[in-house]
Amino acid sequence: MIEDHPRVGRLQKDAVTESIVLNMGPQHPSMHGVFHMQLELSGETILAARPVIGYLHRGIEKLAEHRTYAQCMVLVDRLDYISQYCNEWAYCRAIERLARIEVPERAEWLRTMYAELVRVTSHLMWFGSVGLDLGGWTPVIYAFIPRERIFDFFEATTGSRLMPNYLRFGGVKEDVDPAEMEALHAYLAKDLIDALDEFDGLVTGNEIFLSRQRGLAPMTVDQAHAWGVTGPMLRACGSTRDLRIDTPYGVYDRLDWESCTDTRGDALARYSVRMREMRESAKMALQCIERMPAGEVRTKVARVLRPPEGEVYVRHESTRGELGFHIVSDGSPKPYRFRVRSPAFMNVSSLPHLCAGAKISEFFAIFGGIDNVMAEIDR
Amino acid sequence: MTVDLEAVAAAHSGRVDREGLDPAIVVPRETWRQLAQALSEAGVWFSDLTCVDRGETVEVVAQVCASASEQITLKTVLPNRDLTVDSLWPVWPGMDWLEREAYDMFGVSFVGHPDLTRILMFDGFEGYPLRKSFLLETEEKAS
Repeated sequence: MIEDHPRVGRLQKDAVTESIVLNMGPQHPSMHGVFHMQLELSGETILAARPVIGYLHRGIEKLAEHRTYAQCMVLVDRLDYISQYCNEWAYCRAIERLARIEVPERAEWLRTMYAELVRVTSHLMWFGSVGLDLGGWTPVIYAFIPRERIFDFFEATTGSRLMPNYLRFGGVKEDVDPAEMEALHAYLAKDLIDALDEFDGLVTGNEIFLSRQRGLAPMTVDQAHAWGVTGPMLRACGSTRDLRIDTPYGVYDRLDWESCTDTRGDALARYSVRMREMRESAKMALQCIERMPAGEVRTKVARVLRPPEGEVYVRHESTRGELGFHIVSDGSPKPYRFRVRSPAFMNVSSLPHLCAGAKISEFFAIFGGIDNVMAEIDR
Repeated sequence: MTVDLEAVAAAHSGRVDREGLDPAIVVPRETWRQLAQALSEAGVWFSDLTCVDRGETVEVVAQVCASASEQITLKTVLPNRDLTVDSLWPVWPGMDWLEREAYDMFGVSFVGHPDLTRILMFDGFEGYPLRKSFLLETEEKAS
């Protein structure tokens, strides 16, 4: 017993311990933007955690009610600014279903290609930040090289790296330059795969990384469903839930690919699912470039769209999980209700369950595996 | 697995609304939680909950999945003067933040929710931003 040790003084013998509350963020280098976490600690062990969000709340749902349907597209870009094309596509699908707009074949291929490319860039961003969260600078610097290369391709057509405003109801803004497409094909087929192999060599096999991720914050499928967790986090627990397969849209049913899953349910499984998803997405983008038919990329749609009265809910496999758009139309040019079901919002709400009992140093390893974007959570 | 919407709706004194793009089960608020409980026991999981302000009434709308591709909308309508309904948190713990957001934005009280506080707006904020009666600054100036 420590109390029996001769050098332990009276003070230590009578000492009582009590838990303390530690505020992490919203101004903290590891908090991915402006996330605030209140941790109740006993020594280094987390007893309870309470996420505090809303620091980036811009009222996008309210603003959208005061803009025309087409004007809302720029707001949609600013929801999840790391997977912009997924947001735009989900929004377009909702409006197209509501207003019964047909999309030309080539536009569907282009949309699928852009969505998969953006999934690669989004996962690259996540790969970099996971490294930072665990105290390593290398991954983020390596990850930004392929990310910037794909952004160059986005910029060539849309004029913007991050806020493209590229999709339109009934298609896309304009076709891609064939030379750009050819250059991208060469890049995806060789250089990107080499880069991903290199990342695997740097991080995936790293013993320190593995020991910090393996067995951390395990989750079962039932828990994931109960907490509303979707996307790669859900697939890492053994579920095969993937909206690209379950509710096919775009041209996913015509591509050769498989949904990545893992059965371990821990932080390492989440890492592994996302790393493999990048390869699958690159494969899909390549197939899109090869098989894309020629043709129109946009149907004629009224400049000021007035969808018929009614409501629609469309679910979409965004990079972080199920992105839902619930649009209510009253027949006017502006949406009556514009609701975004944010996947990261639901995934982060599972954080108190995942961190209870973990050590404070493990918290960042768990948090990095959630892959949150505050702009989408706070909306 | 498919859910017999008519039977589920009838068992909870509701009806099935097939006028929209997706079928919706509309129930009175008294059976809101029982409906969720029954669906949950049949293996249905939730994905979303939100509200729509219709002026005199506020609709609470939940989206659930019965199988990989089967989507069902659940609805209950609350009168504006009394915006209370049973919380679905005891059925699906993930409803925690969704109900907090609905409370924050629409002022709907979810009875039985463990921690019904504001989530996106700050604690001292007054009003419910997504209600139609909540005007933007530009609208206030115009009126």
